[in-house]
Amino acid sequence: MIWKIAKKEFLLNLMTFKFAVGAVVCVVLTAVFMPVLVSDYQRSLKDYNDKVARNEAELWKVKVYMNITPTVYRPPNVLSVFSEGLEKQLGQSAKIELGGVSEISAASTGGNPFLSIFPTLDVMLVLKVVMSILAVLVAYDTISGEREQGTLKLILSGAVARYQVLLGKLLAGLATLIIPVTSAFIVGLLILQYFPMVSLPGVDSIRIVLMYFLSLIFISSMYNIGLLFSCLMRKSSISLVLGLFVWVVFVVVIPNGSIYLANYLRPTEAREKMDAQVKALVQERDNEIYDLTKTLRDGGNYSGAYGAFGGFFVLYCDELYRRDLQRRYARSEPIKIKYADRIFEVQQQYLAGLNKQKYLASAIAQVSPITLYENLMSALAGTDLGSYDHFRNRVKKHTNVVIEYIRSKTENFSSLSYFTPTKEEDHLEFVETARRAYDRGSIDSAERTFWREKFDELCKEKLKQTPSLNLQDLPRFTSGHESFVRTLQRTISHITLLLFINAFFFTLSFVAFLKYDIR
Amino acid sequence: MIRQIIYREILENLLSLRFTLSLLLSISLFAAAGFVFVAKYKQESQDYWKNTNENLSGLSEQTKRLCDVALYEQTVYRKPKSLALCTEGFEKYFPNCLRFDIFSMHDTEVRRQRNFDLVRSMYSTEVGSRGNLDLVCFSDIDWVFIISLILSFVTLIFTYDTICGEKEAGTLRLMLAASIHRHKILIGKYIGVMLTLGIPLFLGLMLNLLIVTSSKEIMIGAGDWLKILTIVQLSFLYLSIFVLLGMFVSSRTAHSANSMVILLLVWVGLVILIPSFGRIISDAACESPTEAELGRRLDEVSKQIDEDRASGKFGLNPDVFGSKNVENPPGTAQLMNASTEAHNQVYEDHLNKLIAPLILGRSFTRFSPTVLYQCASEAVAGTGINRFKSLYQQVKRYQAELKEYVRGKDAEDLESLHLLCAHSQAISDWGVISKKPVSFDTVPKFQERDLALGQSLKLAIWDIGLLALFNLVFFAAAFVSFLKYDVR
Amino acid sequence: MIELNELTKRYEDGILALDHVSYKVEPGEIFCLLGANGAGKTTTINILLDFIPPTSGSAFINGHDCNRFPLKAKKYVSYVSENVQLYGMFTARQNLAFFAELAGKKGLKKKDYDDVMRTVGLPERALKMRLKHFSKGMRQKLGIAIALLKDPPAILMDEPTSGLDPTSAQEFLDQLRKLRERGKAILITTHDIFRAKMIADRVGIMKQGRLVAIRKREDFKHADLEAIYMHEMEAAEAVS
Repeated sequence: MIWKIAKKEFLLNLMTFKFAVGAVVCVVLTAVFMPVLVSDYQRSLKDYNDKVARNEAELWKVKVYMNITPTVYRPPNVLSVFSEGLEKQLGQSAKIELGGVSEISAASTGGNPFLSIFPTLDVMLVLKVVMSILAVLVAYDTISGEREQGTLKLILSGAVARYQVLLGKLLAGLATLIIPVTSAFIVGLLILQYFPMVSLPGVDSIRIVLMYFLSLIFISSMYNIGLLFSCLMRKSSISLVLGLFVWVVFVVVIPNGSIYLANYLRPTEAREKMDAQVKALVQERDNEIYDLTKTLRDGGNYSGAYGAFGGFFVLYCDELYRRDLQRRYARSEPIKIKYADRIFEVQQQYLAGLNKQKYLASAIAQVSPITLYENLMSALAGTDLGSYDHFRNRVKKHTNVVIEYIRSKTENFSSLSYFTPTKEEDHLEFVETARRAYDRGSIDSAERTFWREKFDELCKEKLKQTPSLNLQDLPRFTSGHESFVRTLQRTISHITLLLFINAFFFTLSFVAFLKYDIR
Repeated sequence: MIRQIIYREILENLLSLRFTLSLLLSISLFAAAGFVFVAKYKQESQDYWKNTNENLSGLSEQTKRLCDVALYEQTVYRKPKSLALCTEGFEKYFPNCLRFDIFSMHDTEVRRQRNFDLVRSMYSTEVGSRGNLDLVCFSDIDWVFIISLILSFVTLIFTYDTICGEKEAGTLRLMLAASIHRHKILIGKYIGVMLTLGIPLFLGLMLNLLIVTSSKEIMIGAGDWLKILTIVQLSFLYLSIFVLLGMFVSSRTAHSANSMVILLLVWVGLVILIPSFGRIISDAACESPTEAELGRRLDEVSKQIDEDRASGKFGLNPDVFGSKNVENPPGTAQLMNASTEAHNQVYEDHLNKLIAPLILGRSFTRFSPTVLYQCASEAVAGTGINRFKSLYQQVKRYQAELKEYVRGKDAEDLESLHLLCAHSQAISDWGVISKKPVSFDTVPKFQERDLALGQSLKLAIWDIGLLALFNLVFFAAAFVSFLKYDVR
Repeated sequence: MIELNELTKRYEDGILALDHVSYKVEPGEIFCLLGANGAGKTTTINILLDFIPPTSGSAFINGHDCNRFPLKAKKYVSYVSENVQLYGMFTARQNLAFFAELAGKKGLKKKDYDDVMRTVGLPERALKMRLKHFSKGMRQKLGIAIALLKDPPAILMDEPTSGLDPTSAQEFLDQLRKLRERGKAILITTHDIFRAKMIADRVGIMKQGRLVAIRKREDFKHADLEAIYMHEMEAAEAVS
């Protein structure tokens, strides 16, 4: 019985103007957006590949261990075409250095902050706006419309239970709405495959599948809301007005308003506070280093040059200064590492605070299935804050790996190779020349100029001859995205909530329809 | 005749569910917007005054020596505006302070410093944007948001069945059985709906203004009231587009359900989709400059300066400190100024290149009345990207003014070499700028000036014109359609 | 067989729509329920179809209580509603097929559809027409066709001749006669006294919820049914 009603309803739905328009618009928009979004992604991917290659090339120019300060990049996420999330706003790179800390916002790593005024464009926009409104349009007159037509009486004059009618309509509504959603996904994926450089390895496929099912669950929740209004009102025009008002509140007011409200109820600590904390820590660190190294020389005769990653290294320096530099680094570098960890903690706290505030905003907004859906899609696409957090943690881990590597190669930063490529014995060669070049003693300026030139030449020679370090055994940064299982763990509660919303509204419709006056 | 139609239209709407809902929605949104704005303004005001006073006290400390005044890096903050009530203009995404001394405008983005020092590595990044990292792109709930998104939607709900609904009910036939011109019916309906919509809009705005003015913090001057009035008129102009659109589509179909579908589609397209295209268009049309590019250009410029110096453009031994016979103060000053100029140019180009995609993206999306309305309101209210650009220009003018002041005061000091440049060692060793103290009161201080209403309107003239054009087009379309409408 | 037993319905706002109404409609009988608007005729049908519950009393179709076992009762009844649009985008055949399926009729062939269309006087090619192109009379006939396909022992009709032109109304009456011959129990609500006189076996007159009179065919065959009706209404006034 349910099946018969569903079949009739489904056929009727397919013949309506609203379905035709909605389905066509959905598919056409996806088809139009996809190429644009994918070429944007391609551009980012090319950019990323170039940067990684350049970084690798720089690594081969490194002459001292101190200069190993590569930049690691976060690869652009192919799934961001489905849900852009925070992709364009958060940092896409981080510098690996001993004492440094990675920046957070994209503005500081090269994005254009001015463009944030434009709203995000992704496939999810089509789904959450066009499809959700189609869902409401299909559902609003499903009961009240039949009542107005008089056919509801006809149906219920037969041996048909009310719940059978409702279930049949639910099935039909979902079947109707599955068509445009599926078509949009298929068209989108086809276009995606068509572009070169785009590959969807195994894990991504699972994510896309889950995204698809989540979209269906979301659309079904919008349908259930429309269905509820249809079961509450006797006139279709009223249930339409209600449905549309609720839609605009869910789609436009709540997502924006909740963040606005959350900002007001629980404002996050200003960035400045975190900046101030970091600055204080830096000061503390510098003081500590100063205390430990004040007895050491901080200057002497030396000649240096700029090497890979813009880092400085010593070509030659006199023996006393050299010894002190070795001692200095052996003492200061571990301190820098320690403080870098503390600064990282501070930043993580700040990000956690932001996350909490976002959580509050989400909690307020969870009333709207749209926000739930947005958050879930963003998490699955790897473009939400959690995924970014994952990246930061990986960067930290990699930083530790690199530090360990350097530590092992330079005997805890005390070896010469940490800051100079010149061997012990070669430094002696410079001593005489340098003494004559820079001694402010009795030698007159002409001779001093001569020795200076000779010294410069010697330095240039040395620079050319010095080989780069062989860093083949340096572990490279592997950019991995968060595992699917972990994402699932993070989002399981939201998925459950979305399912619950479905069940909740359907139950309400059920109860309402049992009491519905069909005359 | 028309009056009868207007009365009936208003009365029928007042008793309907959609009116009640729109009234509730409008009032609650405007009230919420009011409260949040007051709180935000208080906070921003506090921050602004704290920062500005810090800046001024720093400046007053520097007045012990004129050269310190010259080298002092002032920071000018963006003042919170009461008219941001109407439209925030996305200012939260723009840098909110500009740093400069009289010689150069420091970049408003990140500066990366190289590791010069062997012994210490600095925490080397500075961000010109103080404030929070907003994690999600969201819109501020200001007037423009409520009106352009919510009220336009509500308008469609009021007008989707204005013609075809009456046809379905049979009352259109009855009306036309009376001796009345069709166009009178149309005009009557239009006025009726506009008046009906005016009620929630008006009440909402009143409530909002009440909340805002009752807080003592926010001052709204006479000029501001005029601007508010202008924005209210703009809002009516904008909503009128949707009324006419609704009437047009309503008079093209026989079933109100179909009319609703078409109108929803058009609304989604105009209000949600077209503005989103802005990003894609701007990304595709012009490349945003990256930080790496900035670094490269700065390096180029530095190299050029080095070459110039090597080729003797600045005389012998510029920028060398040692014995008196090798030093070349004028050459050093020239070198320094050339370098500063060149760097400034690079930074300014970079900033302009960052802004260009935004302007371009917006221009292309002007097909949407929503974008037109947004731009026009921003221009009138004096917020948004135009304000940022104007602020930048004003700071540059102030910079020149301050430089003239320094030059003037410097000329009074006979001991100084009168060579204005940003070289701190040249100043301390050679005294290229006077070291005499100056009175804090005589030092020009920065004041941001708002544009007058007339000038703001000039900025917005194209947008307002296009909004009016939309109105005309849809009115004509509705007119023609209804004249041919089959009323049976 | 249709049976009402002391059926009473009082609405929430206090209106007494039915006041202890009792009568039976036997198989092979056409019972016309006459009365003004608001007299309780439609309420009767609504209770029989379990659209609303009675306040007290009971209604039976073929021995099954309509409100305690509605699904069982509705197996034996067909309903022809007043002025129903049916499914505009479906063809006549699709409409018929759907309602037949709901009625539990399986394996209906083209012949069955053609037969029923012929029976109600609609051309067979109308099977392929969409309902939105049907005229009012055609829709009415299709309504009856739907009822016929189910072929139940009892039929309820609500104002079936309202708005029909004389020819269509006459054809409709022929249909009713055929149904009567097949032994159906037919309950018709109407205020078309003219047609009621022509077709009814018994007439029930309702006023303000009460069944004030039942007249058999013999009583009104040669009399002016309208006069009887008016008389009964006034008498009821005097009594109340």
